[in-house]
Amino acid sequence: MGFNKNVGTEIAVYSFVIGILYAIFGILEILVGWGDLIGTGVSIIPPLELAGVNVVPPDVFGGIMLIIIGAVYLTGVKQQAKGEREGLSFLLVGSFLAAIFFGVYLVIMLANGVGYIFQFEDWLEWIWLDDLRPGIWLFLLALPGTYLAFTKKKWRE
Amino acid sequence: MVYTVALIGNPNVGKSVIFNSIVPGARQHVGNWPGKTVEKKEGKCVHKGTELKIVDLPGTYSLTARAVDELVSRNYIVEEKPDVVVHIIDASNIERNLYFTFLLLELEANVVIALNMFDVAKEKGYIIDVKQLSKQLGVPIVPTVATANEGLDKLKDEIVYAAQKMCHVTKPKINYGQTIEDAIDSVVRILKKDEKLPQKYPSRWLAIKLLENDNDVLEKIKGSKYQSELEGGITKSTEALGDEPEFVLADKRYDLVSDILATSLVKEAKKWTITDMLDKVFIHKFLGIPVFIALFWAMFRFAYDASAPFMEIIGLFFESLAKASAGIPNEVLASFIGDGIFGGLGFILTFIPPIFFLFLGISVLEDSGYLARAAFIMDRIMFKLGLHGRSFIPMLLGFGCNVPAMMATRSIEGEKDRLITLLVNPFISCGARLPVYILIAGAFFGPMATTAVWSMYFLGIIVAILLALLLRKTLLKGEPAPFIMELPLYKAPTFRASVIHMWERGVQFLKKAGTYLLAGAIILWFLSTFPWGAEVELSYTGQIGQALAPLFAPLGFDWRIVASLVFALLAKEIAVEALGIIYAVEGETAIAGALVASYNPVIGYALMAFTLLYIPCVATIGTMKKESGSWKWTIFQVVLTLVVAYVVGLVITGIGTALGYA
Repeated sequence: MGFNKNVGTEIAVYSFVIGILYAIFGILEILVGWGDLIGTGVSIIPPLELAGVNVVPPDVFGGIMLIIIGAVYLTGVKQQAKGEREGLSFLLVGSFLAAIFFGVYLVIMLANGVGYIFQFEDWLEWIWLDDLRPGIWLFLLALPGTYLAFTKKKWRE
Repeated sequence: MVYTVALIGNPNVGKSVIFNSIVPGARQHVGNWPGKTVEKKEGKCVHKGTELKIVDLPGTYSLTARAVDELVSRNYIVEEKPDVVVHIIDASNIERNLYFTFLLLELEANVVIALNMFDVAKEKGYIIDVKQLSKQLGVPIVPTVATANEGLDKLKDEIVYAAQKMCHVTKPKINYGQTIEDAIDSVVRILKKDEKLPQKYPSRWLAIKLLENDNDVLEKIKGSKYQSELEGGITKSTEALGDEPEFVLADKRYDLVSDILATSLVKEAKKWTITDMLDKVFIHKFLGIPVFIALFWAMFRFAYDASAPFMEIIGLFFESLAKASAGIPNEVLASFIGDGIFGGLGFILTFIPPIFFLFLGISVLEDSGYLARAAFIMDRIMFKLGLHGRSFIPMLLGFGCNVPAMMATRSIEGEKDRLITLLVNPFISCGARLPVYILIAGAFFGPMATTAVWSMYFLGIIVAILLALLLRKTLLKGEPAPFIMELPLYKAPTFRASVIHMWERGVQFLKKAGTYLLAGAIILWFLSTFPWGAEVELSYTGQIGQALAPLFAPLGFDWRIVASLVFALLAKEIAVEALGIIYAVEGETAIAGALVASYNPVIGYALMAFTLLYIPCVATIGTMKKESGSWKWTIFQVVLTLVVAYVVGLVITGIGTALGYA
């Protein structure tokens, strides 16, 4: 039981790309945040900035979580390529986990916004772009393919 | 006349939902999780002029005497003889559930079946001929969807008919085949000679249980004039059966279930459901545990980071009240209100947002059906270590509160397995420890604070598993019983249900704040400010702390920490309250800053670990005594937690210092 093999290859490629992106940004978060974890403050690679905004936050454990999401996507690639329906499970759960982290980071961003509006001491210098982490925008990349995989009737047998 | 109606069935079939629906005002905790009800709950309702007393019994898979919850349910039916026993069946799992029906029919109970989750069965492609099933079993059957309130009025009608002995279904006699029936009859004949036993219990049920070598029933025949004749009869009948009667009877019951379902159930080809897809990953051999870790990490991130500005709002509110109270002319009253009430109780109330957010996260995981998977994946590790997988369910319940978690061990078969689970449960981090972690982690670990808090929960699980293993290899040697757990279907948690569950758990903290924590604040303020005018170091609190401080010097704890840990025996939150009062009396309002000035991150982490591992509160000590029935094991647990907390604290201090973090 499964779905069209050509479609399976398309889904597999999509899952592979998303999985690799999650894994890469997870590794980058670890490398940037390593110094904070061991207390030296010196990272393995320097902070990655774009127009003065941190693209990759220094967050070792956050990075590990991104790698776990990436691993879920990547585990299903082989079965998807063979057109086996079980492979879709990994795409579903990978996107489900991605959605949870997206939701959590978004809620944190909104909560920080509350702190900023009230001008509490710890939030005086906060800008929303600081909270725009890979966990947020990677999910936006993962969403369309997942949606199509589960809604396009022609993809299923 | 009031009729008594008992609700019974396997775990997680919707008993509590039905109880809440038919008993006005009932608010039993309902979750997508087996084993929530460990004690019977009662309520009343009136249906069409008939008054009914509804009793919700613990969910069990069987009615043997091996687990406490099974015995509670069975004894209630045998001893109290309710007018009607409503067997709630998960229609989507009808084969296994019907086995239990036979156990109830053996008890000669007046059974009405609620075929619940009928919608889920339909989704699974089950076509159930309800009339045919009812005819074959000889009991009225009502299809229900309790969560949608469907079929419950009809169920209440049938309950009333059955209670008034107006049942329209003819009860057939269960026939287990000639050999088994002969064996049962031969024991029944001896039992009937006794004047008391047949009056008190159904003879056929007694005979079956005696053949099954049921310890509780064997106790019941002790002292009978016919005890030796009965024992002889049982041996003879057992020989005639040619195998263990327990297995022979179980096989026969399953055969009967198959025969009945052959004519009343049609299964369409199995559909590939969302539950199948999710389980493919959530209980995956390699991905299961990393996904579990990721989900818990996300939950703590949400609880800690998203609550931070709301904590600030509450903190500023109490800080302004404390400042305003400084204007009260009476110096003692000003100190009491400013330092004791606002500095102590007010400080602990700033932790309401993370506690409620954490409980919201746990509720979502529970309602979705994921927590049952967490127990399932941990079972793999635990069974390899020689532990009972079922033990992990009470451990997960311990994330809310250790008291109900310890009570949940009643569902564990085997005294040693249960005792091990009881002994290690306090190491699981309950909600009361969270304020301590947040205070310390926030002060010392900056952006790593969430991870520091999350690490405590995993440290608790690891210590609990390792100690369970140690106990299994030493004091409580034996083999773990096999773990059978039904994985519930995944359900999309509703916002309303999750908020209600968060409130049910969180309100305990508010109740505690209005009672124990308020009383604690008053006592702590008194002990920290008197003798009046003395430095806090010389106050009664200071004296208590300083008397014990040398014991804790190797961990880097000073008298302030020691005093707060002593008072926290009442409830863990009091540790934070005590630090709040001590620093407030000393004139500090920024407690996190004062902590950083007094200690280092290593001491902070050791304090978090010590708070996690030493006995949670007096309530858990009381629960241990009640559940174990032994002062010896209760004292052992208190000593064990203190020793483990001290040793782990010492290890953290040693390693942290050696690595230069101090």
